Amino acid sequence: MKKVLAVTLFFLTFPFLAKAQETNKFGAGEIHGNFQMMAQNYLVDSTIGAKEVSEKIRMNSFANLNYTNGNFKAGMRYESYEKALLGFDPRYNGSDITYRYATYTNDDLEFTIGNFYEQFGSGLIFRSYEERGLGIDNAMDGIRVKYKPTAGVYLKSIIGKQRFYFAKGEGIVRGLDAEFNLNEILSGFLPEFNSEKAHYTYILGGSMVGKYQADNDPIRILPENVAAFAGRFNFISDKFNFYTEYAYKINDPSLTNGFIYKKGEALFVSANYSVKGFSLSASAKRVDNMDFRSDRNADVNNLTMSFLPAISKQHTYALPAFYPYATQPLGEIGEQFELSYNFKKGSKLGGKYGTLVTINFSNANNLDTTQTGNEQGYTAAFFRKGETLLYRDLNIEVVKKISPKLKTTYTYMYQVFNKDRVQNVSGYGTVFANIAVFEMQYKINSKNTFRAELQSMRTKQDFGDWAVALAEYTVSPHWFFAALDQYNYGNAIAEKRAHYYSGSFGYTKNATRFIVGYGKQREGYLCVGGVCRLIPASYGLSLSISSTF
Amino acid sequence: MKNSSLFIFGIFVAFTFAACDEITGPYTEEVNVTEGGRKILLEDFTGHECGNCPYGGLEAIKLDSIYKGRVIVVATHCSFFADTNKNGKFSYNFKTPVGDELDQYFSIETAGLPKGMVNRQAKDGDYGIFSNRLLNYTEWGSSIAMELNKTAAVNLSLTKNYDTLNRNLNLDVEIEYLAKGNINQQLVVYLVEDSIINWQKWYGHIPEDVSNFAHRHVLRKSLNGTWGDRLSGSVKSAGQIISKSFITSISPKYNQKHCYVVAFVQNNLTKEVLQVEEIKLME
Repeated sequence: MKKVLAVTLFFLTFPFLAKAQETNKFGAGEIHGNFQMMAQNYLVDSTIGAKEVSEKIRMNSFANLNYTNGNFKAGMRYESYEKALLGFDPRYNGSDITYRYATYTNDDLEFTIGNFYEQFGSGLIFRSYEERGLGIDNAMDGIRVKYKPTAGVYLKSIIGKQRFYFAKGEGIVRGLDAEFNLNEILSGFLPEFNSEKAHYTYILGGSMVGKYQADNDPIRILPENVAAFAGRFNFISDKFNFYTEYAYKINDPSLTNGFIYKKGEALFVSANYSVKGFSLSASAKRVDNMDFRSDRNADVNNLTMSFLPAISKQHTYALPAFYPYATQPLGEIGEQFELSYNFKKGSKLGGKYGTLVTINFSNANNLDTTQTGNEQGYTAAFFRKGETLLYRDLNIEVVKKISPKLKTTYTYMYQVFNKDRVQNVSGYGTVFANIAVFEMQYKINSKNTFRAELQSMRTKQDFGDWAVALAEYTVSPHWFFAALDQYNYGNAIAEKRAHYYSGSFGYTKNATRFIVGYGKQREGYLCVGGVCRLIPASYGLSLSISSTF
Repeated sequence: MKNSSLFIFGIFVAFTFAACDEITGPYTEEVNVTEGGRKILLEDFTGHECGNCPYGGLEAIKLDSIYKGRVIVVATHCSFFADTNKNGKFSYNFKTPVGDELDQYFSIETAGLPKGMVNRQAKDGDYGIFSNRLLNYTEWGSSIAMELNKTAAVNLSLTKNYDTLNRNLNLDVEIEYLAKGNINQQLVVYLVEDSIINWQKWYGHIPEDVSNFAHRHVLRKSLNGTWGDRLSGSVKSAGQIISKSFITSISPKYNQKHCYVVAFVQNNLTKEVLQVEEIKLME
């Protein structure tokens, strides 16, 4: 209650403060924000496993308010889950102000008090972020200072606790990140490093993050202070970009690693080359015992500090995204390659309008480990892959414009998905799937567009074969209508060969959008950046409203 | 300016480096068990198809042994992990109506297994969210240590008369108040069977599906419903004694030599457990 009053007072006072200062330094300032609401009515459907929900209707909603006045910024977010949509942790049930902050920038110094999101490098040892669709919000609550002591040197330091639903995690997180842009630093001495002249940019960075959590365990002797370190290098030129980061963590026994005292480490390397009509990228990752959280007893997606970037393609079509790969923070080694080539207009393969071909391959294995039989847990060879394949994805996408009005996309994908290991389940084994997708988009006139998708997945494992058909009609700029059917025609159990049909329409006016949907949602995993959430099967009416101002 | 920046940077670095505790062994310590009349109810929520649950069970056994009888364990099989197959592996039904009701009430399935409750205490004292008291097994030890430091508000003593031939049990429970008690307190009595040999999934174990797993402390039924009986409709004063009696029969499906009764007093509003006691059917 005190919190609500304080924030309310804060926002009520601001316009007056701003007014009082109008003639002085500050001016009136601006308020911006957004609102989002997702409600769902739940019906029972035993064929798809949609269970009865006592409340019948559940809702997640959010509103952000941000005030800016010169160098000063302040804001807050109100969240309401009455009750949280199925699949979200019930600890979200309730309503409260979950995020509030004030930031002031003074010359080269910026400080934030309250909540903030932050990331050091690619996030291997620290990333505080929000991913609403996954129910992840590990926002920091504390203090952040950013300082630029001299040209090309950027320092960030943080201290605070992470959000844990409507409370805060037990551990105290503190960290420091330093980034050195060598071009900016050296341009004062060597003119060839000046950004206008230099063809290359070199950036070096390093970060240190520590957490403190009291050892209340009566049996184990646990490290109360655990630190992790990371170093990174980025080379950027007009056509080529190379990034690498290595992270190291001292002993961090936790629930997720089975309370072993082994050190953790992660290596991430990425390179890409692109010129007009052609691009090639490659990335590799090795992760060993790098699940780093501010609470050693946390699990699932709670209180994570490390973020281990996914190096598999994030598919948007329904069936290619059916078996999404979740990063394995306890151990994995993988790589990804992508080649993209645009056959020019007028060439044999390019035809009249050109043809874009993209080939992508990604692979992830476990580590080659040897159990030690003591508190260290295991040892792992650094460059050798383990024998267990976790994920493999080879996909080819061809985008072909047939006429000024008709555009088509053809996708083929072969996927190997070790369901037991990736989803931490048992008895499902590995899924081998062949997937084909055809998409066409026909622009009837400047306002009306028709889009359709046909998808097929053939597999002998898990739920068997699926087919998907989607039709979408858009009347710009206000309306869209869509109908979708996902049919599990190959399920080994005849009663489970269900149609998951749904229909939706939406209306957009300026910055406000309404979407109404009705139908069945299959159970499955939703993944963003290698982090996943299980969505249970559901059936019913849904309403979504979003607006910004 | 540059010197002062380096100085500030150096301070940050020094602070972060200083914050490292490297443990090189030993990794465990001797537990100092304090004297006291309070016993602790540790509820281990488990399921035979939950591959991580044996780790929770092992933790419960370890804590039971360290605290030398001051921790009383009840393993409740619940959620889809405890569902049964029609035949073959995992066809044995460990589920109970009590377990299902606890699962529903505390949202155990949603929280995932293995989970446990120590005296049904909420970690942060917020009883509005029931899943707040569902602890990962790595938290049970610290929670038990804290609970053991609390003073007992109630003493429980159990006496039994068990007819091994007809498998009839007469149980008397005496509740002695050591401090004032409120009107919401209830007595709950569960029947538990230890060491049932059957299938269990166990990740990290070879083989993963274990045919002869000893299922410890399995909740079989309640003698008076999931939430028990109200002790009395009025405030209890220190020194007051309340007696309750129960008669029940023990199913021939249960190994009576491995059965015991667990009785506990809980605040039925918050579900916090004040005291717990156990008695074996056969010595």
